[in-house]
Amino acid sequence: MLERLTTIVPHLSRNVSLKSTVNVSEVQKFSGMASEWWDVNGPLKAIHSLNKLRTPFFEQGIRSRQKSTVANARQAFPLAGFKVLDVGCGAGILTESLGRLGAEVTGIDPSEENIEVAYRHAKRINLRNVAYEANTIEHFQTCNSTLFDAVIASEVVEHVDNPELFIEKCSESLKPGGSLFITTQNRTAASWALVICGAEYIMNVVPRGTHDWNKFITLDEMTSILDKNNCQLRQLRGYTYNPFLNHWDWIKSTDINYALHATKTV
Amino acid sequence: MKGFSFLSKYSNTIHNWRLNYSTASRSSHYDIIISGGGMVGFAMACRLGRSDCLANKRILLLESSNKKQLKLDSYNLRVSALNPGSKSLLESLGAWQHIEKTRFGSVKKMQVWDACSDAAVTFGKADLSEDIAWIVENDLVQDSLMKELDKIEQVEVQYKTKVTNYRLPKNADELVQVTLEDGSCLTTDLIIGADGFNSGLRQTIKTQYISYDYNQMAVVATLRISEGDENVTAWQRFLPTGPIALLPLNNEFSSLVWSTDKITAKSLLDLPPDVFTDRINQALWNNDDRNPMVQNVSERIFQMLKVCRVNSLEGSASDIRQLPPSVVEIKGRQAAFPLGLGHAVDYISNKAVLIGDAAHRVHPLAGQGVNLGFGDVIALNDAICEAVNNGADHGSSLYLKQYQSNRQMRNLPVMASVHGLHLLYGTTWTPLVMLRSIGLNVFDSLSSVKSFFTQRASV
Repeated sequence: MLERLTTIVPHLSRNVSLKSTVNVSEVQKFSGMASEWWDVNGPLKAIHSLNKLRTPFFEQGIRSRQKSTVANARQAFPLAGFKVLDVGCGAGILTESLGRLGAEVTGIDPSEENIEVAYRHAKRINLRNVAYEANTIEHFQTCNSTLFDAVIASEVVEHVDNPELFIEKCSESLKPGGSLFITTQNRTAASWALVICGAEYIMNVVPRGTHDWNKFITLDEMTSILDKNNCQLRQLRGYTYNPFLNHWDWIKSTDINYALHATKTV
Repeated sequence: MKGFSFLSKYSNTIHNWRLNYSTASRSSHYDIIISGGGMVGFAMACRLGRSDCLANKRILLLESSNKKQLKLDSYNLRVSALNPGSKSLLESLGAWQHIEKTRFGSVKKMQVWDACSDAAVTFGKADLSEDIAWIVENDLVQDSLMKELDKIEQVEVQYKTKVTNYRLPKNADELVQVTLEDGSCLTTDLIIGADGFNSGLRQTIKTQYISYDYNQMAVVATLRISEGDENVTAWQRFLPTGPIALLPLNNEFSSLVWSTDKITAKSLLDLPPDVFTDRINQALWNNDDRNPMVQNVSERIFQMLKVCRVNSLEGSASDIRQLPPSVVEIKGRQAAFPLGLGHAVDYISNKAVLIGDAAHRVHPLAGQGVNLGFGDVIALNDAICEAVNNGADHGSSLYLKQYQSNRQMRNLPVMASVHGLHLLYGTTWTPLVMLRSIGLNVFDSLSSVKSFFTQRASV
């Protein structure tokens, strides 16, 4: 990920002038990708349906720790007044959900293409309270002085090269008392059988090679990283996917996937 | 957003959560459009308009005809038997208060019997202490909903507005386009088709529509009856040509719904009032269709069941078998409407969803039509609110799918049983008549089974 950083930073400076120089073939390319990212029945349908499970988890988690600064936030915008950072946001599937709930969300992702798709999509549906940036968490954190009420890394840590650094930077982006949310896969025999064999090879739920089981982080490893970063575990839940119904459910066991909510010690 | 200033490309400086992003400055855009202002369409509009999670959404209801003026001088010929689920929906919408103040008939007991035998089944408490259904004129239901809808700011109603074309998007982030007769074009994130059994939206969705023409019509009329005291029983007699039902409107009047073949129906329409009255009484009382053999067997079984039930704890209305009232005269004229069965294989498409008769049409013999429609209203509202609460687009197909599977799981068995009853009672073939008569008597004597079915039919 650090390697990618160098390739991204020059792009960022170039992007400043891009606004008026959009060419047609670029637009077409991104529209094509957009339809794939945003097709709820497409290759990423499991991620879309995961929103049903994870969005309420994040929303309730954020509100359980802090009060909104916006007086009488209406039921339609329960996250109004909260600043949220969505790390590894992809094309913004989760970012938009949080934005619709009223949060002031920033989505970052190292892939410029993803961010382009995300930005265009949010613009197309006229969602104003989301912002995107093609960047890595480490670079974002150094350049950016804003601290967030919540930082979310959903289905991301299993893809990064240096999870310790990643979580450290996530935690540094948090306000004291702010909430860190991580959803990821556990490194157990069960998750190997299910996620790698089941999801990628038998059911074809996600493209083959999407996951590298060796990168999955066990709960023990995760809790020790959280401890080092002064993050206190508040909630831990297991969840699982039913590919036949394209439906996610909370389960007792955290052996396959787990979702956690930790808060940064004041 | 000071900290984001360097993100010139991707950040959007306009941040105001109060501003509803999807409605800003697009006057011909609505978050939700409901096509069709019948009972179900109006209930949908009220239900969505009353949902807190949709408080910032702009909703439009389109109705092709004029605004209906409620006439109370005589009873309207089209009535519905509302079940407890429908009543509580109307209560929650505030519409029931208007109905209560105006008029409705309570059904405390239902008696259904077979013209080919004496087999009968009754529903309801023996002491008539509980309402099991409510007979309300369709126009009154609609008017009450309209009154409540007027109070809801974010819902707009356009009468005399015909939709000429729907264009559904291919992608989830495009909008539905609705073209009106005057050439104007509206856009929406979600189009709800409540446009009846000839639904134009259903044709646009191009779903497979399984339909069956009963070749029957329902003849309707308002009848003055000779009921001694309280008129609180709904009567239905299965004739080989179709069921005839009397639904109580008040102590004096009942509403007739007589399903019969088209030729008979047309001849009934032409009859002068007194002859028509005689024909109704005949249909309720005569024994021409009776099968003596079945009658005999059925009676024995009935006696046997009675003996077995000595220890039965529950007092059920079946203990007292009443005779139907006779009809004194017909008030106003009789009318008729065609009957059919239909079911859309898909209730949903991209940003489009069907509710009520647009999705499913049933025979009125079990009084389920509008109740299924109101059930759709509740389920669709739940699905949309869940989407909004989860931060999803309110027209998200993930949630519409949830609505579809919930409702098909509920609607299909009801439709199948209603159709099955129609087929079962459409015959005079002795073995079948025997079977259904015994079945009905046994069913009637099993109070727990019966209450299970009553409950299933009431939500």
